[in-house]
Amino acid sequence: MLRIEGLTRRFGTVTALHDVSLTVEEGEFIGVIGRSGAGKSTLLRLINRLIEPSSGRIFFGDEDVLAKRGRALQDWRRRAAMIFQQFALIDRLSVLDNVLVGRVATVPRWRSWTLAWPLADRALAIEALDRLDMTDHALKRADQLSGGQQQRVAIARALVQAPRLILADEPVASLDPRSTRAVMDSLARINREDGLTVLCNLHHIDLARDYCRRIIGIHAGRVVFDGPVEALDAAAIALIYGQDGEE
Amino acid sequence: MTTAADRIARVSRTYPALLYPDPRKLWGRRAAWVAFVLAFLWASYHLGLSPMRFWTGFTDLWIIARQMVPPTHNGFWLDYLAALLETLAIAFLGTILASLISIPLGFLGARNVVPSFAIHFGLRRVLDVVRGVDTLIWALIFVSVVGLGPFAGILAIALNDTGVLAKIYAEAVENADRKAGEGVRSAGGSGADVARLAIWPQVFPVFLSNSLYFFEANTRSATILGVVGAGGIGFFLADRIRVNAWSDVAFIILLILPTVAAIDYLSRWLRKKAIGRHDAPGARM
Amino acid sequence: MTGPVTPKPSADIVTIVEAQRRDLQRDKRRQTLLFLGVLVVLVAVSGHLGEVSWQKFVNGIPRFGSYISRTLPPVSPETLWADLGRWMWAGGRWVGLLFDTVLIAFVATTLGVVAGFFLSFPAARNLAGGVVHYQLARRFLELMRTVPELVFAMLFVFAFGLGALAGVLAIALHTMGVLGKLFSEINETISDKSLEGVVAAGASRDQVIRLGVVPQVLPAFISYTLLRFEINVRSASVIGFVGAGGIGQELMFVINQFIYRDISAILLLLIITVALVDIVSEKIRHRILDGEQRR
Ligand SMILES: Nc1ncnc2c1ncn2[C@@H]1O[C@H](COP(=O)(O)OP(=O)(O)O)[C@@H](O)[C@H]1O
Ligand SMILES: [Mg+2]
Repeated sequence: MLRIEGLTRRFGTVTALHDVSLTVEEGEFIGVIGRSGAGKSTLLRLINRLIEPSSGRIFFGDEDVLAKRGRALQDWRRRAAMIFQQFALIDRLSVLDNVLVGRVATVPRWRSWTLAWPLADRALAIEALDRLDMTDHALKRADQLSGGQQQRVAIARALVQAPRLILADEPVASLDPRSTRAVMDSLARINREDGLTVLCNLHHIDLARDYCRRIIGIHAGRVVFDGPVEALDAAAIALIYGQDGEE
Repeated sequence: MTTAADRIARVSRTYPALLYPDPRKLWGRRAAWVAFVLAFLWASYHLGLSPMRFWTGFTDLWIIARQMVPPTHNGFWLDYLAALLETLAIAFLGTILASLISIPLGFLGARNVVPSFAIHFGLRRVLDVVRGVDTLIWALIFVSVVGLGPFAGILAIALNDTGVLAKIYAEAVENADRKAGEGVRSAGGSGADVARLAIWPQVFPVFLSNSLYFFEANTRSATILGVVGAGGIGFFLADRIRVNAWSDVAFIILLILPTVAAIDYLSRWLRKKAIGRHDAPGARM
Repeated sequence: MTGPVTPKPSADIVTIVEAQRRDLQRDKRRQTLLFLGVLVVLVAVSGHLGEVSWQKFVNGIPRFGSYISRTLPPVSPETLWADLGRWMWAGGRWVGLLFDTVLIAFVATTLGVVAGFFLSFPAARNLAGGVVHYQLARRFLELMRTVPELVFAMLFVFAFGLGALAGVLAIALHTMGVLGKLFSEINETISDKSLEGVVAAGASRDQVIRLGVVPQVLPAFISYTLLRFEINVRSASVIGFVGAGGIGQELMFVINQFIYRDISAILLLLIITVALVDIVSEKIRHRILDGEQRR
């Protein structure tokens, strides 16, 4: 479904991602693991087109993702929903409006300008919040919630985008253990029930083992491991994280 | 796959209060907007603003704009430069004068230095009055009192600024005294000692940075004092507009803009240099 | 303890410190003297340019005193109301003109803030669509901000005729310049990170601004707008000097014709108006800021 070929991104002299190729099938739950600075975020941000690659190609089905401009690009971003480590909610909007931000690419301009969302979209957003047990907080301001709650709002926002892919960039790195479970469980459930493809960056290998069926290991911008979670043995881990934690 | 209608029906049963925005809030906000727009339209109507007049005037404006290029000075450039220097002199002396008057007033107006309610209250009300009247009005009055010329402008700027500066100075003194007065007083210092030793070093930077900031603002005000005959470049500006010499007007404006920008820059640089990174309180906009 | 002096074990540390202190003090005194010297020279030069003389002060200040005292109305306790009535003989008309003045400020602030709002986004480095937009918006706002309102007013009186239209447009343009620049600086404090959620959801540039930026900057915008409205009421009181509406024309007339009682009457009403506007505006501002903090 998603095909990446020779993707490279340089920041000045730093090569954040080096010649990455991989394919993702529909319905997969993939854990992208690697040390901090390995290039995990760069990979997801390239797929959503938050940043542009230095070279390489991305295809979704037979669509050329990198050729998209204007409306087509906005629609692609809607279909490749991002979830961020720091939630990226708008603090001063209500939880419900934050979720409805997920509908921007589909509503007429005047509606997004006046926050007069269509009733059907409101219903969609409330159902999404309901799935994440967040309806009690729907009318609060986003900055009144705890980190775990904010991340669940962000997941609800991703859901109402009606995406084909969920790109989660270390969604639990800022959360306590209990919220971590709640958020990861939500992602797993969405993957299971909706058949949504999930690419999830994770810092910690244990979480990846618990939730992901396929693991992509990145080391210094290169994919050094790509296989089922069962194949992730000590040797593979050493490859991904570097020998004895050095280098 | 559920249809949108199904979903709306379902949610309207489970969460009706979330699905429909609170009608009181919604209509309250709409009513506020409508009221604001109506007030705006009514005010415009009351003031006699009409789109017709706007459009007819616009063509005249275009004529002015076209006649402004190229800017010319018709041999008056030396007079213009002299008037510009006079403008700067007015702003400078007005600021100096206001600062000098404001220092004693600032100490007098500070609650903890002069603990007399009557003085404090009376002074602040007088300052309010002085501040409530625009510099240009004071300039017009001083022209009546001391005659045409830059002196009237200097007095106008000094008076209006005193209204603001003395208040800021008084607040600075109050803040400083609270922090440092105790030490000197407990060491047996008199009131004057407190003022000189403990307060002055603290408030001086605040005074200086505010005065610099006011010099910057006064340069702008001083460019138009000449319109009422209180000296500076404004005299030529008003005169050239009166006789519709638009290219001269453009020339004078082109003289004023870089001068004001240069003073802005200079004042900002001095403030940074002399005071570290001290932002003038009350220095808004 | 840095600097050229390295304390040797044999040297008396106290003398070294003392010497350094003296040096420092001498430097500081020299700086102060230089500062004062420059100041004195500047004052002398400016005094010459500004045609200031001691004599003028000596003559002028008593004359200002007598001017003020002449404007004060004769009021005796027995005939208080009649006296006040005579003082405010044209009170109705003046209040009407002051009302117009406030309306001019209101309409001009509204127009200026709307234009400044929309220009503040291209004029913010982080939100502008490109360097060209950014530079154009910035330079334009700077120009509108630097040209004094009264100059605009004089030009507009020529183009649009005598009356409030010229004054409204003049104040509106200046307000647009001031607030547009201020707003753009507030916009520049918004981090790209805080907008990523909206961008990544597929929002267009204007939607990113509406949903991501505006909610964050709006309280500051409103606060500055109200402050500007207070300033604009003062400006609107003088644009009448050049025939651009409001109380100014009447005020100029009574001052130039030396109608002393009317001067004080109008100024009193003006001060009350300005104070009322300030109080109301500050109330609104505080309510907005408090509402912010409570959340
Ligand atoms: N915007 C940027 N500018 C410069 N360097 C960047 C930028 N984003 C990422 N990098 C660099 O690219 C490399 C990979 O970063 P990132 O993808 O964020 O790693 P990870 O998410 O795996 O921690 C790092 O060396 C980082 O410093
Ligand atoms: Mg990262």
